[in-house]
Amino acid sequence: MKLSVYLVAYILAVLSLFVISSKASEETGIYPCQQCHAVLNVTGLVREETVHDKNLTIGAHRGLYCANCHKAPTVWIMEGLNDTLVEIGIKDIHSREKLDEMNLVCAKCHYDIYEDYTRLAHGNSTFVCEEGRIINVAGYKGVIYSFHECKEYSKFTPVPARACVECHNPHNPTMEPLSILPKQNYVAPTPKQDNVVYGTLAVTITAMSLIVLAIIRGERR
Amino acid sequence: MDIKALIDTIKYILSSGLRGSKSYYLFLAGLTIMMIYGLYNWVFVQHAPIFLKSEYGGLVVTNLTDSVPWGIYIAFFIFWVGVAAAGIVFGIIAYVFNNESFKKVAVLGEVQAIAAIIIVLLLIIADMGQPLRALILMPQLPNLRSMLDWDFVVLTGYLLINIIGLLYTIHMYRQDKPLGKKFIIPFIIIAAPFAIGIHTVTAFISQALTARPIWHSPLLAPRYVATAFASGPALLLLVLLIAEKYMDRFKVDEDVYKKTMYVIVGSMIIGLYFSLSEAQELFWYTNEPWKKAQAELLYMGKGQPGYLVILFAGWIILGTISVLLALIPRYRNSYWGRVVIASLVIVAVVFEKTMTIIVPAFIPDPLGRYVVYYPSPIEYAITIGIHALGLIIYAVLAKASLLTIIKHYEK
Amino acid sequence: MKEEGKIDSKKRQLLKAAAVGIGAGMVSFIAIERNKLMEVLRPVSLSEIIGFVEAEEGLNKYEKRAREREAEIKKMCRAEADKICLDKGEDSAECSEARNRCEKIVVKATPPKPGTRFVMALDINKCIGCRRCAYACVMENNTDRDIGIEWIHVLEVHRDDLELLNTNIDYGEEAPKKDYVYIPMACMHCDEPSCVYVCPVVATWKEDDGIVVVDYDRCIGCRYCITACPYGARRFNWKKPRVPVLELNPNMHILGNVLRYPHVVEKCIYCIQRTRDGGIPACVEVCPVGARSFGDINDPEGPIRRILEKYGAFVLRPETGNKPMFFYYFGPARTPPRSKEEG
Repeated sequence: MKLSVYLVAYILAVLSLFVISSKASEETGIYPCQQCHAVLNVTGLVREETVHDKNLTIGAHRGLYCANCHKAPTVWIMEGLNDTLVEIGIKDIHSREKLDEMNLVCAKCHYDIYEDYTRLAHGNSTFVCEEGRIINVAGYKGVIYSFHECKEYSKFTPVPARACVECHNPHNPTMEPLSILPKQNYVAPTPKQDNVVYGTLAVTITAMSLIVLAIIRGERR
Repeated sequence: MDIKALIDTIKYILSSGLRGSKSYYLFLAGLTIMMIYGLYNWVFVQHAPIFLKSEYGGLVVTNLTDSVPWGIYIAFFIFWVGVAAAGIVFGIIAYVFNNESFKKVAVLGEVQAIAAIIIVLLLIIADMGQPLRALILMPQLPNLRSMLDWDFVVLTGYLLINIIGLLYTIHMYRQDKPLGKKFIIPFIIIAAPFAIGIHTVTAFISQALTARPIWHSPLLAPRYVATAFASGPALLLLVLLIAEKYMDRFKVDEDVYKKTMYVIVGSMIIGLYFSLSEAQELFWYTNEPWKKAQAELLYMGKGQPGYLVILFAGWIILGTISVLLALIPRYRNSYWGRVVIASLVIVAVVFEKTMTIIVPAFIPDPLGRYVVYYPSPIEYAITIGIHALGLIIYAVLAKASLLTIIKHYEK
Repeated sequence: MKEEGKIDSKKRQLLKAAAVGIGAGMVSFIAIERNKLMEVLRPVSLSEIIGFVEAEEGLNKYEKRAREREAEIKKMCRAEADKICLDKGEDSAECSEARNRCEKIVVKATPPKPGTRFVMALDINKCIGCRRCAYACVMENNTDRDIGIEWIHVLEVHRDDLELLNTNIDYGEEAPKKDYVYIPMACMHCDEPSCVYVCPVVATWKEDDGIVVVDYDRCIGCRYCITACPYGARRFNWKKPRVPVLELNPNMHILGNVLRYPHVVEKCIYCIQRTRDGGIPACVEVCPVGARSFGDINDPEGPIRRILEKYGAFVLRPETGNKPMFFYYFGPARTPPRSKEEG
């Protein structure tokens, strides 16, 4: 009886050790990506690869596989929202349609922000006018102000926000803060008025002496 | 009273008011110099962009800012509204309580009201950015919710009532007729509420603003009225003492001085009591951050400008001293005692009513900034000039009306 | 005796009539609803006073005045441009640019579009306090450059406080700091604007699309509105405003960025010259982190609805009861503080 208990305990202990060790090997071991990458002739450390500057063992990206985003046969095809396949890394100047398509890749994970973006709650917004142009001028206290030069200032049409990759670096999307412009004015500066000080003093003293004289004279009466 | 009599009365007032001894002319000359200098600074410097369409000048020459948009002009505006309101005290004692000795000097209250309201209106006009526009637009497009319009209405109404009262009184006295009941009863019934009204509405301008927590208390209007009924009679008392000294055959009954002193002391005590009550609420218990910050600036001198706490302490100390002095009959009934008490009351109320009311409400401003406000030299010059003009009007009208009274009562 | 009786009965009738009258007055005063009473006390517009003739002309009135102002400003601008040309030479770039600007000047009087209600929302998490909005606003709205009237004031306040009393406007260039947020403040375009209630000449009012405007031709410069505003949003032209011709924005609105007179009050008008014609305010356009969103709150597809539904929003100083139409919210991600030892 005692022996059987020990036996069960021993078996359980061995099993648990096995389970733990297998889990450990999963964490420290090889990702399935590498199998593909071996085929694709892509080398490199997968957990901390240099291109994305991301550690795939911590943070929000923990547990992600390369294949979650990149689709075979090349890394230049990525999966976007609703299982669309988007080609990235093309050499030409990106057309608006192409950029819209590429936004879907970002939208796959950052869906809320994508929705904000489509409704102009996230991202830059601007407008254009007919036969007009936007001139960026350095203006008051060094601000870069978008001056709208239009033929007629009557009908403006809003423009959709710029695509994700036009503002964010896809490999390091967090924006660093820009420089801070000079301090603000909130007190109207009073011009110097020394002459008024002297004038007021002179006038008040003259007038007061006249009044005092009048009072003394009046009393003597 | 037809047009001819009206013109005749005005001519009489001007001729008798402007005629006097050499010292009287010296006195007027001194005031005129200050007035001309002040008005010059107002028209040709401060309001030059409006009156002269010039590039220079403008309200920028004042030390007012977007944080402290109201300064010394509005501060003295409030003080003189109080002085004007108290002019009716003599009328009430004379005609409501039917006091013969006060009837002799009641017209002086009207004179004081006229002079004070003229100072008040000039101070507002000097403070306004576009005075000409204001005079055209205010009667045309009133906003019934704006207390400034109501203030304009009651101020001009009170001025009108007092001018009518003064002219009618002088007209009747010149013909050696007593003032009839047909005139006195409607006059007091209309003028007394207006007198309280001008000061109450002036307090209402600032009282209901949630943006300015230190004003946002229903005690503001009562406190205004209470201290007004101290400073106004005190000024009247001083004027009576001066007139008795410098005018031949003018005698004021002892009863007038005694009763006026009672009014002053009573109002001072009420005013000091209201100050205590406000200090308790603002300083002791409130947790509202703005109210607390503004109260600490006013009562404790935390932050700049530091003169506010000095002025407030001055009000409490001088006010208490004047009340204590007035409680002792020996001082209360002597000539110099009266002069000292009345002067102390006026100085104390100037401390309480002017800058200590206006400035703390703006520091800190709604964005939490402490923008310090000191009146600039031009502001001083214009304020002095306007006061000089008011004093000239006071002197001329008082002289004319007192001469009429003397003649009337001698017969 | 009989005659006396007659007089008595007359007196009694008079008293009766007076009592009935006072009673009726009291009853009607109590019976009248508070809302109706408030309606009576509401600011009266010009059209209400002068009647429907003025109301019919209401639109034309501003059109007419806008054209007058346009001619005036063009004349003034050309004189300035001539000075520049004399100074720099006829062929210089400045000269032609100045002339070009003067010819482009247009003063509009676009009326509000029915059914719209403009609202701005600002993501405090994103804002880095760079003050670009404040200065772009100056460029767009032709405010005085001598005093430097800035409609937007950016305040730094600690995250765990958010009390506007403890703000700092003079923060240096090391922003954004850790544990601090930056709150740009301008006119909140309140639903219950205390500035409008106190104006003695109805020179400022709330338009149908939610924009609180100032009529610069009517403002008397009493500064009561500055005193009444709990957000410190209003600015006063303490002197004759000066705008260099080369920086003049030719796109003007008669109730917006048209050149101001000396001694009038001005404030943010949500860039009325842009937004009434379908554009967006300059501060929204310039914001480098996209913290600001502007739109029509009645538009179900617009950014404002999205923000209110997704993140919720709050207003500043709600205790004043002004019901601001400028919402602040804490968005999904924070712009990281400037990297420093303490950061």
